[in-house]
Order: sequence, then structure tokens, then C-alpha cells
Amino acid sequence: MQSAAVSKDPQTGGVCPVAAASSGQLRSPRPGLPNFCVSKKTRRLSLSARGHDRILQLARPSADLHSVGPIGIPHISEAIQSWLLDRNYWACAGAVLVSYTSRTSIMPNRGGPGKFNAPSPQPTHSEDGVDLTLIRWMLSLTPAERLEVLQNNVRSILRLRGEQTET
Amino acid sequence: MSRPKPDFLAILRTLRKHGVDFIIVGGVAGVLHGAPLSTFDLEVVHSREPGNVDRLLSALEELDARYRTHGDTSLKPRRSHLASAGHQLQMTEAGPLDLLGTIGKGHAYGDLVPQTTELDVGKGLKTRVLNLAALIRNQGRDSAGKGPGPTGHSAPDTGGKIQEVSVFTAASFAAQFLYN
Repeated sequence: MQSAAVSKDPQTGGVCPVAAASSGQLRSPRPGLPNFCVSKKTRRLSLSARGHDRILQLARPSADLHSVGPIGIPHISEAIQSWLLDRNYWACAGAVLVSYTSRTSIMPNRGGPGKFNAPSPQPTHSEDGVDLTLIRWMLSLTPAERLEVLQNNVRSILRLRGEQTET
Repeated sequence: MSRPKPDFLAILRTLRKHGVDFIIVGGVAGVLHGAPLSTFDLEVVHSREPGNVDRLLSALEELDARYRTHGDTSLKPRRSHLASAGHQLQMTEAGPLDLLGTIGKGHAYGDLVPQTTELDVGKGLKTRVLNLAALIRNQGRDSAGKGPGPTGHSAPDTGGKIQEVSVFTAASFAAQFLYN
């Protein structure tokens, strides 16, 4: 682990929690590859040590798919995309579950009789059957990030079809 | 160009590099507004001013664009094609690119500009994108030359962004079902 991994976070003025927690524990994907947990982008993601490990786990098969030995920056980028997608999906699913249980009284109501602490119920689908949770997630992204999601989707679909789409 | 690599940003960057005036429409515009869709082609309405057509031609040259609808895939777009109101469906080295002279009921670039928003589509690349309400109005009537046919959806007069995106998404699904 490089000493730069525990350097001060310029945005918060504090030590990068991921870097601090993982100092001496996290593995660098390969010698010479910059430790991605301290990059500006991943600080913005509030990446935990567990998330860091998860991304490395996701990056490995990606590198294998491209028949390259060591994990590279493109594989880590792809893994971060998948991890973000997964995290956002479960965040939406969690909100839906909370909303549902508050209505059906399956879970204990901490707010006392007649009171709900859960957020107001939001429909998960439109009358046309469109998944509104996906729309809410897309709207939480910037236009540039939305285009990146589309680009990655297209590449993933083509890869599933067996077409080569290396960049 | 046996195996084009789809790269929307690369096409947009090339068009911008050559100073082409255009508006993103179709599925990519919907995605940029938040619609959870997948699409493989980039659809743009270009200005048919002579100067812009020349700039577009040079951009298409760099992208090695060819018609993908004709039997002879070596056919390159010409000035007269791009100056027409029709739809020029191209395959480039960065994936499919649909150049639309007009959309809907003959709406050209100049008619559509007031209904656009300039968005940063990545790395500071600012591009005009057709607004959602206008996209919904034109939904199904264009679909890159796949034929006319309203999908029964209309733009909501009121309602939030989620509702608007939802209507567009539903209309896109319907259009795909109808035309594919």
C-alpha cells in the first residue's frame, strides 16, 4: 500500500476513510496500477473497504473475459459501473420495501400509533407498466452519466450476443 | 468497417469537432432526459444550410459513414442527400448514425431549436437535445424512417419529470413493438 493512500482528502480536509481503514490490508490489483480507492471519483462514491473488495471481485472476471492477465483500469471502471448499478438498484428496492411494509403493517411502526416514519409511498410502476424506480434512478444521474449507462448497456448486450466490442 | 464499435460520444465529438449544427432526438435524447431505455443508433436532426451540410460531409468522411439501408454498403452520403428532408441511415466506424432532415410533420432543425436544451453529454461536450415534450409529440412518427403511425401517447399537460419520462418510455416501448 502506498503512503499516498492515506493522504488528506482535499474536499473534506480529513483522511480518506477508505484509505485509512484499508491501509496495509487492501490489495493493489497489480504492481504499478494506481490505487483506485483514493481517486477523486471513488471518494465521491463514498467507497467502503468492503465496496473496494467487491469492485476488485467484479473486475477479475471482466479481465478474464478480455483474456488479459492483470486487472487494468478499464476493468475497474466497468466493475465500478456494475457496483453502482447494483447499489442503486438495492437502494430503490429498499425504499420500495419500506414503503410497502409501512402500508401493510408487517414491520413494527416506530412512530407510534397512527404515525408512519417511512417515506410517503411512491408507485413503482406507471399505468403503462413502466418501471418508475428505474426512472428515478436515471434522474439521479447527470446527462453524461446517463449516456455512459446507455453506452455500457449497448456494449454489454453486444457482448452477450457474442460480438466483439473491445475499446 | 466490418465490425463497428458503438460509441455515441465519439460520434458526437466528431460532429462537434467539425462544427456541425445538429439536435439529438430519438432514444438517445430520451436517455439523456432520464428514460431507462437501450438503443443502438444515434438519431440527429441536422441543419440543412449549405455550409452545415459541407461540415457534416467532412465529419462523415472522418467517421467513414456509409448507407446501411442499401444493398451496396459502400455507398457514401452525398451533399444532395444531406440537403434533403429525408432520413439518411448511416453506419459509421463508431456505430449507427441516423441523419434526419426533418421529423414529425416536417419539422426541420430551425423549427426544433426553440424546443431544445443544451446538455453536457460528457467531458464538457455540450450538445442540443430535443425536449421531452417535443420528443413525445414526435414519437412513433419518425423512428428513423420506419414508417408513420401514432402510438396513442401524448405529452402530458401537467405533471412532473417522472411522469413525462414515463410517458416517453412507454411510447418508445410501443414504437419498438409496432415497428420491430
